[in-house]
Amino acid sequence: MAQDEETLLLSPLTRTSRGFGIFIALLVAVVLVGAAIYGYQWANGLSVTGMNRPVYMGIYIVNFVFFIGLAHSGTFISAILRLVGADWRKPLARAAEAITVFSVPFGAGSILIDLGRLDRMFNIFVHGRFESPLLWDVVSVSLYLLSSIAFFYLSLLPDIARCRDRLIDVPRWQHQMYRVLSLGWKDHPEQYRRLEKVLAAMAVFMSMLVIIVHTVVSWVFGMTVQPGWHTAILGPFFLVGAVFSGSGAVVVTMAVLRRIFHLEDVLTLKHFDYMRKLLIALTLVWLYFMVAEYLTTFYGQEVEEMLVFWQKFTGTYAIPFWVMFTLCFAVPLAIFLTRGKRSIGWMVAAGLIINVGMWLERYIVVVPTLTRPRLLSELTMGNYTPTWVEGVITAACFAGLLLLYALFTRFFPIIPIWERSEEVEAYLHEMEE
Amino acid sequence: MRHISRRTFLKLAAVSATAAALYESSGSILHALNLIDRATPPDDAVWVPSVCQLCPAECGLRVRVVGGLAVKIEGNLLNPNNQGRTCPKGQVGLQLLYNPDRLQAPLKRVGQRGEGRWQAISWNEAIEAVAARLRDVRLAGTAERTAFLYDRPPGLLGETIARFCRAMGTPNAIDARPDVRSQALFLTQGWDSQPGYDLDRTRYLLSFNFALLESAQPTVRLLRAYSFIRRGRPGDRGRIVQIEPRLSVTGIKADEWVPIRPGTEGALALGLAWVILRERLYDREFVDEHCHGFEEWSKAVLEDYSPAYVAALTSVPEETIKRLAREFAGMSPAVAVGGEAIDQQTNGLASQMAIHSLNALVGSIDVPGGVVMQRPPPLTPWPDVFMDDVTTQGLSQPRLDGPEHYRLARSAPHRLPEAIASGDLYPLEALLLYRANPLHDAPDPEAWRSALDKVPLIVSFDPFIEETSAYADYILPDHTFLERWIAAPLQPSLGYPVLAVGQPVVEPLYDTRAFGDVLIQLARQVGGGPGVSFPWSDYVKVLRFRVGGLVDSSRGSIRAATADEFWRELAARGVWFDSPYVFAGGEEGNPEAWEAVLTTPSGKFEFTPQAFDQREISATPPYYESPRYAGTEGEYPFHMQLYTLMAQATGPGAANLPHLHELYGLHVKRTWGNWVEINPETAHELGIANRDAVWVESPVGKIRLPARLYEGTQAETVNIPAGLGHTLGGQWAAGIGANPEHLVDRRRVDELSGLVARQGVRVKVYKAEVGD
Amino acid sequence: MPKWGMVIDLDKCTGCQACSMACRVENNVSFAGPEQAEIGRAMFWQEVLDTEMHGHYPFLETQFVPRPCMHCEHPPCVKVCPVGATFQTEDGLVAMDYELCIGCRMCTIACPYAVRYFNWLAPRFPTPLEQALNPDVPVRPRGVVEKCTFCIHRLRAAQDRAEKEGRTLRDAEMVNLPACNQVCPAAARYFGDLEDPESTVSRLARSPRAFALLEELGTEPKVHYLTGE
Repeated sequence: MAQDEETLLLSPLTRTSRGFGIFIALLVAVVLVGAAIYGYQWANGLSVTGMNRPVYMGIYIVNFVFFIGLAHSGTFISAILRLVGADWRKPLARAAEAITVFSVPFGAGSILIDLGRLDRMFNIFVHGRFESPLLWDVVSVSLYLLSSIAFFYLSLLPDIARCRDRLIDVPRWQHQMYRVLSLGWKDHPEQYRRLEKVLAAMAVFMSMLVIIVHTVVSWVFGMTVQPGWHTAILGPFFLVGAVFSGSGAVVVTMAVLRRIFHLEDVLTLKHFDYMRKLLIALTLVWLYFMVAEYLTTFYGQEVEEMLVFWQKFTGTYAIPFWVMFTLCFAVPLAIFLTRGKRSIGWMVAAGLIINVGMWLERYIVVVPTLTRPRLLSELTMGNYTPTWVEGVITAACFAGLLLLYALFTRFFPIIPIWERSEEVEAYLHEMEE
Repeated sequence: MRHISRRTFLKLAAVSATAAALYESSGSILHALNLIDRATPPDDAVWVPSVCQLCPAECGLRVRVVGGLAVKIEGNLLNPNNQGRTCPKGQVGLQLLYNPDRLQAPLKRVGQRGEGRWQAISWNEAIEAVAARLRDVRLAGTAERTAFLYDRPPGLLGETIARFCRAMGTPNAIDARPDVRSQALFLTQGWDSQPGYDLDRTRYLLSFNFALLESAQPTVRLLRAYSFIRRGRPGDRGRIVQIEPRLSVTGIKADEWVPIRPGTEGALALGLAWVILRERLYDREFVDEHCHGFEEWSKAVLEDYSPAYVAALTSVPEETIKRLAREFAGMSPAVAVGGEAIDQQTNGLASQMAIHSLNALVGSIDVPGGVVMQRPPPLTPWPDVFMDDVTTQGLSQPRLDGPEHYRLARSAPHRLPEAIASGDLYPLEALLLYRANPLHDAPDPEAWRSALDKVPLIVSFDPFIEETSAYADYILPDHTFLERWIAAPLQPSLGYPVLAVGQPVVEPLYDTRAFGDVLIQLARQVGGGPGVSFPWSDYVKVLRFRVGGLVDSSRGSIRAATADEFWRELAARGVWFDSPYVFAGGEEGNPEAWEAVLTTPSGKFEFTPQAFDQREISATPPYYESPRYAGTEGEYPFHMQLYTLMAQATGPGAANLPHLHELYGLHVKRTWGNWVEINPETAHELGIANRDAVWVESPVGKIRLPARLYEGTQAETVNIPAGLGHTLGGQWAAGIGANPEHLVDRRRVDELSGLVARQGVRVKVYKAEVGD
Repeated sequence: MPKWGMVIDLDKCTGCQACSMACRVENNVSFAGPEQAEIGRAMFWQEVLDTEMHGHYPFLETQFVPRPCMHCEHPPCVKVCPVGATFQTEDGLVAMDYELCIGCRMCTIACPYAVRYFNWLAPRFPTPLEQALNPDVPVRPRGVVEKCTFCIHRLRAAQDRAEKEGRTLRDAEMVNLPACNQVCPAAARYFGDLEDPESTVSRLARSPRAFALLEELGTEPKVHYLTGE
């Protein structure tokens, strides 16, 4: 990597632009409002949401699934693509991993927000039962969070050392932070060798974890016998959806970082093109799962399944369902096949649209089934209108994610430097021989 | 007498013996079932007998009291009326006792009437204030200028009110809810009470708008009877046909629902009679031996009520009429029952007579599975009231409600507003109210308000402030039923006499007083004649006095050497009854009983009542006329039918029981409010979707309700649950639902019975605009 | 070891809902009020369901189906509870420990019969209605799940009593043990030991009229129904 490139990547860490400051302030405000509203929910119980019998789960659980899904993109880019040796991923890796590390806490947090008795949360650890998919969730998501943080930190370590060494004109506390966090990294070849080994091993582990985590998340629903949920395809479906939405988010992140930090030479159209091709594949796989699921259901014409089916296709949830379909499939594919080839702007649009669509998709998975429980009567049929409380807390979660992400980019290089340095490449080359 | 085969009868007899055994002496019930103490955990709890007052059935209760607090209500196993069970209303009695909106002390009005400002006063002050005014009315020699309006008074309180009025010298003891079926029974059999039906042995129940599983009385007994008809006689599942303008819960559970044009049930009954007569399916023995006027009546029926004609009148297909008639006459024992809704048409009494005549035709009078005469318990009769000059003068005056304007009415409360407002007969000085709430329950609230404005003294005895009691000058609040003594002669449709007795279950919560006690105290405070007429110092003494008759009879489920011992047993068990019922007819019947069953001038069942001639009522058999509705068909295309849900309690505070609101409508998904049921196709034509707000408008008023598209609705009928729509009455009563009583036109009256044709109202229905 | 079960005769049931009411009063379940009921938060441990009306006018048919907790032999709710706040007793009841429940509501979405309820609010007993609370049953706090317990408090008390008297429980004293059974005006409900082949519930469960709800799911509910005619 050229010296000026490195300087370019490190420059955001030395100052705060005015625009950035305002942006942070806004996010902090939203997060604080969200915290206050959560306090209101704490005082008044979950009655302030729109949930009821039979719709016992709503937006909070949708957020849980969505944020965990979003997180998988990072692991996919950094771990899975690392395993198959897709070098083009390197500049994006940390940006993607950051999504993971900052998304998972809000996923887990959403579940906690949804608990009726958060004060009894430790019962899960003291009295946990492994027959329960929720325990599998707790274990796998915790493991995922911890290993993502470890993976992220380890990948970041050499660059923290670089910051410690190269950034002299920063406030004392910031320099101190680099010093502490760099754990005495000496930039030795031997250290790089060991780091590479650990990262390679973790990549394998993390790849497995991605598959396990989101499948287990889906099994919160899939392990019940409710119509629309109790289907073997749910695990893979969630997994693909997660990687899909995450990849869309990666594209958006890439474009934003490229613009803000003037990384036009680092993140080129070529990288966007790789993502585009990946996303085309994911769109089609997602469509495949949708068709497999709904065609099978429709062909079988089981009474209880069809009630949920029609709720989605023509009933109360028809509009969100078809909007979701458009936003997840029709529009993105059109963009990818046409404008997206040349325009980063359009790719960003596609990335955002996919994420909106995928949030709706989680909603479509969770809510319509709950409105038509298996033992159906006029009395057990339900509907669900989310309240402003749920809306504010959702917004605060998104703001929180953006806040953490933005703060990270302010103090740490979002594009990995060490992986691309010539010296390191030389070391690694030697090791391979 | 029907010729039942020996085999069939033995089967019936075996089953009825078991049933009878269960109803027999309480001792054997205790022994056989042995459930009283086993069903719930014993602890420091005490079980106290009471009698439910949340509807007129007056089921026997046992209330679990722990630490002086009532915590659970169960049925009294010993009471054959409900056999240890309660309906959902009964369970919620605790919410009445511990209701936050109960009055806690006597109140005196402050400011203008209806302003809602009250001052709590002491009982001495309250009683003296009211007694003084009543005394003044008497002393002026105008004792008749007091009126007592009451609605379904529990137990013996109705008789006590009547005695109070008589003693005070006023003829105006006015029942806000007169009954028509007792009139029908009086005309045909000479009995002035409601008929009972031995449903446990019935094999074919032909129900004409009889709300067997909703609001008909006595509630729990009928639910049990339904269950017994279905499964109580293995291999012999009785058949139920529900003839009703709407598909009610009863219709749903019946074997067949026959939709019918409202108000034409009597015509249908006569159409069935036509077939039975024409095909000679009637019980010749019964008709020959025990009937009067059969020739005249049957000739008239055969002339005019052919199935084709009746089909056009009723909208019931001709084939159905013929089939039902043959079924009714062919399955034995069969019984025809007319529901309360039939009373409330302009041809109500004639319709009930027609229906009851069907029972005579097939010989179902006083036989197992047929109609039974409900014998009252042999209570000691009231001693004569003391008649001084003032009392004699007052009682000689005409009643303010003028029931004599109708041929057979004993009470005509709908005529009161005009009588009071005009003062034509005489001005009303004092109006006493017990459980009566005409501003809510009766049509034309405006007329009532004008009338109430004219009355110088209005006193209510209710424990809640409701629409009418809000106009009172004094409120002397009653205990709730769990805080007082009750003795209730029951009409459980078993025929044999039953007296339910309840005692206070807890100490009174507030400074309220039992109404019975207050009446006595008022009478004694007024002094003079009224005081003499009430020698008992409190109401319990009244009850003990009257119960003396049971002791003397040496009959029934309690035998005791002394009156004290008897009373103790009675209070502990909560019930006395004298089973079994001795039928006059049937193979095991006692023919000597016919004399008691048929007490008409002829001593027979009178198809053509001689009472008509005696009272100079000109009426031609079979007396039926087509109903006259309020509103013309062109402008008001729908019949409005009002009904009462199982979850609708009656009495003060009944609309303030939140648990019941949350049950409310099972067959349409709607709680905490009422609705209007509309046929789905009709609604579609009117552009009304399910749950839309609509206006229901009659010639005299309109209300706004959510629509419910219900398939069990006839195309030209709309059905509305009644009982809600209060503006006062507690935090859970006010503002819940809309009140359809205000759509009723009180000018439509059955001229024979004097009852307002509440079910004979036509309405129009249209969607409510957003701004309404 | 007994296995407690219930039989409900749909031919006798009149849809009066006394069972739903008795259960509420016995078990200290409060009313939700109009606004909460409107959004589907009314709690009925025992609820009378109605099936969809079918048939052509006027031959319309629907059924009233009283529905307590099924106390499944293979309860889907117990499987998914992360903390064991709902568990199966040895005698087959699916019981609740309100102290352990964290309010995650997995059990509520796992139950195919929708018999479970969640306390969105702390139950309200406006003074002086709290005086009518049954001292034998705990009042649940906000944020936990609750449901029909087959009146376990009555059952245990009856068992204790029998033990003190040195005998076993008689079928006759079990038939009307839960509050819903005890109140039923149509005497349409029965309770007892399904392991005892001579008990009322066992005999009725063997009837050709007997069926269970959602039998095909394999939950093996211990509430059996007898068909309407």
